[in-house]
Amino acid sequence: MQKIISAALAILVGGAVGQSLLAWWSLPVLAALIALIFRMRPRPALIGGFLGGLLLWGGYAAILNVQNDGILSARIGALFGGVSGILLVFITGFFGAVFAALGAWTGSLVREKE
Amino acid sequence: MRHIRFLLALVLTAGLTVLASLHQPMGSPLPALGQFLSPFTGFWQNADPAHQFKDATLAFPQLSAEHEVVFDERGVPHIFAQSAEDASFIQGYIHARDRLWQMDISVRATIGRLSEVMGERTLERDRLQRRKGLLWGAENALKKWMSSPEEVTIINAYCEGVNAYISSLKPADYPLEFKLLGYAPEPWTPLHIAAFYKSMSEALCSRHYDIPATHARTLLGDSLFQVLYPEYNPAQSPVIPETVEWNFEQLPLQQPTTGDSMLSIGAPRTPFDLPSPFIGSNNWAVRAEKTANGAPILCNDPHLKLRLPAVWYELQMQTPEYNAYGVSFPGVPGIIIGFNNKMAWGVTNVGHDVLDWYRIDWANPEKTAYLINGQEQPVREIVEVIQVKGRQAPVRDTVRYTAWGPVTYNDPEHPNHDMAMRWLAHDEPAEKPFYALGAFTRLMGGQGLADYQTALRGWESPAQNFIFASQDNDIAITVNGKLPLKADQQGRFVQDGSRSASGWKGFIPHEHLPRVVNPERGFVSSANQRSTGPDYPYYYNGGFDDYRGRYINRRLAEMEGITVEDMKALQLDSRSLKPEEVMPVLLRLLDQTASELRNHERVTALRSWDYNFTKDAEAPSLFEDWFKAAYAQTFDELTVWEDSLEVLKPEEWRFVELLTTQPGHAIFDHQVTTAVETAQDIALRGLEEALQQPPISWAAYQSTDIGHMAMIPAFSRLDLDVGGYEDAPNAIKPEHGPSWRMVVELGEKPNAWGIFPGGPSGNPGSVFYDPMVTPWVEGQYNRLHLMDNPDDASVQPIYRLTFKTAE
Repeated sequence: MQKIISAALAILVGGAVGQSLLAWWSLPVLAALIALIFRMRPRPALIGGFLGGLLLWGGYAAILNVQNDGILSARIGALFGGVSGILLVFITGFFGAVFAALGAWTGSLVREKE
Repeated sequence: MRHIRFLLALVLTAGLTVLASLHQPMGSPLPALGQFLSPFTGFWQNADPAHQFKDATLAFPQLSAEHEVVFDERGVPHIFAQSAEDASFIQGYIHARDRLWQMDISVRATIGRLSEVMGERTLERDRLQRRKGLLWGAENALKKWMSSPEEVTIINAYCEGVNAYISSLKPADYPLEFKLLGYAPEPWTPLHIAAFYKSMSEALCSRHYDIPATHARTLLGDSLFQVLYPEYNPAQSPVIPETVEWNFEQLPLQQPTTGDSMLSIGAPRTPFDLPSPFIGSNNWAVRAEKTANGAPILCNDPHLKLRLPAVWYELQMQTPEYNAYGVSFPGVPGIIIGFNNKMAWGVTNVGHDVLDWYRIDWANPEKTAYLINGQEQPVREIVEVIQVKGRQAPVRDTVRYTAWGPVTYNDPEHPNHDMAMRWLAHDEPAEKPFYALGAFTRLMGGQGLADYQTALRGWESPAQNFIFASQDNDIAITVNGKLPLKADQQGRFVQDGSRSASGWKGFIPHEHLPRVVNPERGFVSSANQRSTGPDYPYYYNGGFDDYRGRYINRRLAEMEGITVEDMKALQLDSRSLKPEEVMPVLLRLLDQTASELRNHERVTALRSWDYNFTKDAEAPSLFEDWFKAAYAQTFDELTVWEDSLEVLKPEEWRFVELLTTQPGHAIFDHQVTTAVETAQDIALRGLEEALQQPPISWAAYQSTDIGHMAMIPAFSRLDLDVGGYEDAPNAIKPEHGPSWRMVVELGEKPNAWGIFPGGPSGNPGSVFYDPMVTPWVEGQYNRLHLMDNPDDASVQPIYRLTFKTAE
C-alpha cells in the first residue's frame, strides 16, 4: 500500500513539473523514468501510476474547470456527443491514468528482465 | 517471459501514445486526443478563469511610450495610447488575443487558402475564390495603400501588434479551434488586412443578376421583361430625398453605345453562390429640432451574418489625434462605426451593381488569346498553387486574366464562350492622399462636417451610405465609393466581351456622388434602398431593398420630440410595410372568391394582425407562407425553368403592384391549366397551400441561429426565441440580422448605447464569448462609455494592461 502511494506521489509531482514544460506524451515517458529510477515493482508501478496520472490530469482539469465555472467543459462535452463537463474531467483523468500507468509499468519492467 | 512482458508493455504504451498523438486518427474527425485532453496543453488551457482577471504589464521594443488599456465590466478594452501608431499596435495585439482564429480563418476563406488546413473538402471552394481573383484584388489595393506613408504606419504597427501576440504563444496557448483543427497561427501581414477588406467587398458588393436576368429576358422577350422588371419603384423613398437638386455638369459617356447584351449565353447558372440577399443595414440621423433633448441622434444597425465569434469587436481608442468609441473588424485597424465627443458616423451598404460578366471570344482553342474589336489580345495566365493538407503535391489551377478581369467561368457547353468577371473590387484604387484606413482615422478624429466630408474621399469599395451627425447639429449622408459610369441598361445583362464598347465608361466623380447635408425634413437615413430618385443624371442599377427604407422614412417624418428610447424602439420595430401593403390586397382578392376559407379561423386572425413580426405570433408565419405561395404560383412561367436554368424573379414590390393594380394580368394565368386564372385564383390557391402548414410561432418559423464560424453546434446559439423580419427595421432573419445596434445622442457628452450578439472574446471557453446574445435577443442595449482618461469614474475596470517600451 505504502509503495503504491509513494509511486503515485512521485508520478504526480514528477508529472506536474515535467508536463508543464514538455509535450503531452512526456507523461508515459516521465512515469517510466520515475518507475525505473525508484526501482518500482510492476504492480505498485501500475497501480501507483494509474492513481498518480488520474490525480495529475483529473485534478488539474478539475481545478481549471472550477475556475472556469464549467463554461468550456460544457461546450466541449456537447461537441463530443453530449458528455457532461464533470464526466469530461473524469475522462481526462482516466486518460492521464492509463498513460501514466502504462509508462510506469513499462519502466518497472526494465529492471525486472535482468 | 520477462522479456516478452517488457516488450509487450513497451509496444502497448508506445503504440497507444502514438495513436493518441495523431490528428484525425484512422480517418475520424477527432483531434489528437492526448494533446487535446491534456490539461497542460489541450482544451483545458482555453478554460479562462471566469472571475479572476489580473492586471499585467507587457513590454515590446516596437512601442515608443507607456500606454494603458482598461477593460470595463463587459470586458471591452479602452485603449489610451500616446500615439496613433502605438494605438494600432495595441489594437492588433488585443484583436489577436481575443479573436486570432477568426482573423486567420476569415482571410483563408477569402483568398482560397482553407485547404491548407482543412484538406480536400474545401478544395473546390478555394479554387473558386482564386478564380474570383480575391487575392489579386487584395494585392492591387495594397499596392496603393503601401504608397501612402500614413497608411503604412498604421498597417505595419497593427501587424506588429498581432505578431507580438502570436509570438508570445506556446502551442498550449493557441485558440481552441487551432487545437481542434490541428494547425498553428501564421504571422499577420499587410496582405491579410487587404484580404479582409476584400472579404467585405465580396459580402457587400459582389451581388449580380446578369446571368439570370439575361435568361429572363431571353425567355420573356424584352417588352414583357421590362414590364415585370422595372428598375424604379414609383413608391420608393430613396436615400437622398427627391427634393435634392443635382448642381453639376454631367460627365459625358465617351462611348455612348454599349455592346448589346441580347446574347445567347451558354451558362445555365451564375458560376458561384451569391452573397446572401439578407445582408443589409439601417442608419439614420435626426437633427436637434426633432429631438426631446435638443441634441442630434445618430443610429446604425448593420445586418450582417450572425455568427460566433461575432463579426464586430467593440473598443475605445484614445490618442492625441482622436478619442473614439465603436466597433472594429478583428484583423483590421481602426473603428468602422462609432462616435467621439463631437460626432458620430455609420454605414449601410449601397446596392449598385459593380460586378459585370463579359462573354469572351477566344482567338484559339488553347485560349491563349481572345478577341476585342477583331484584334487578338494575349491572355495573362496566373497559375494558382493551392496547398492541400494530406496531399504531397499542391493543386495547380491556371486562371486566365483578360482586360475585363479573370475568366472565372469555363463554360462546358460553349467552350468558346467562357466568361470573365469585371469587378470593381479588383481595381487598384485611384491615386489619393489617403485610402480606406485613413478615412476611418479621419472619422475617428473628426470634429464636424468638414472632417467627415474630407474623410470620405479616401473610401472606394465597397460603396457605403456614410451617415453623419455632429454636436454642431449638422447631419449628412453620402452614397460614397467608387461607382462605375454606365450607359443605360449596361451591366444588367451579360455583356459582349468582344467589343471594347461594352466596357464601363469611367467612374462617377466623387463630387457627383449622391449626398445631402441638413435636409429640410430634419433627418437623413438609408436602408439599402435606391440611392436617388430617377432624375439623378447617371444610370445605375443593382439590388435594392424597398420596404425598410420607406417604413423608416415614414416613421422618422412622423416623429417629433425624439428620445434615445424612441430610436432604440425604431431599431427594434418588427412592423413591416410589406404585409401592410399586400395583406389587405390578398384578403380583398380572397373575399372576391366564394371560398369558405374566407372564414377560416386562421384567416380571421390574420385580418386583425398588426403587421408586427413578434416572436410568439402565428399570423406572420401564415402571411409569409401565403405570400410566398402566391408569388411562386404567379411566376410559374419562370419557376418551371428552375431545374435547368437560373432565371431572375421579379422584385416583390412589383408583384404586389401587379396584384393591386392589374389583377387580370396574363402573368397570373397558370400555364398548365386550360382555365384563365386571375389574381383571385392566385390568392386562393396560395392560401390553400399556406394553410397546409400547421400554425407555428414566428420565432419557430424563422428559427434564427447564430452559428459558430466552423459550424460547431456546441459553440453556437441556435433557435433563438426572437422576432423580427427581413422587411422590417428589426431585420432579424434565419442567419442574418442587426449585427451591431448603436444609438448615439450628441449632447454635451455623447449619450451612447449599443449591443451586438456575441462578446469580446472569440474563445468558447471564455465568460466573454457570448454574454450579449441573450440581452440582444431581449432588445437590451449597453451604455457605451467614452472615457476621458484611464481613471474615468464612469467605468469600473475589471483589469488593466500596461503596454510599455521594452528596455
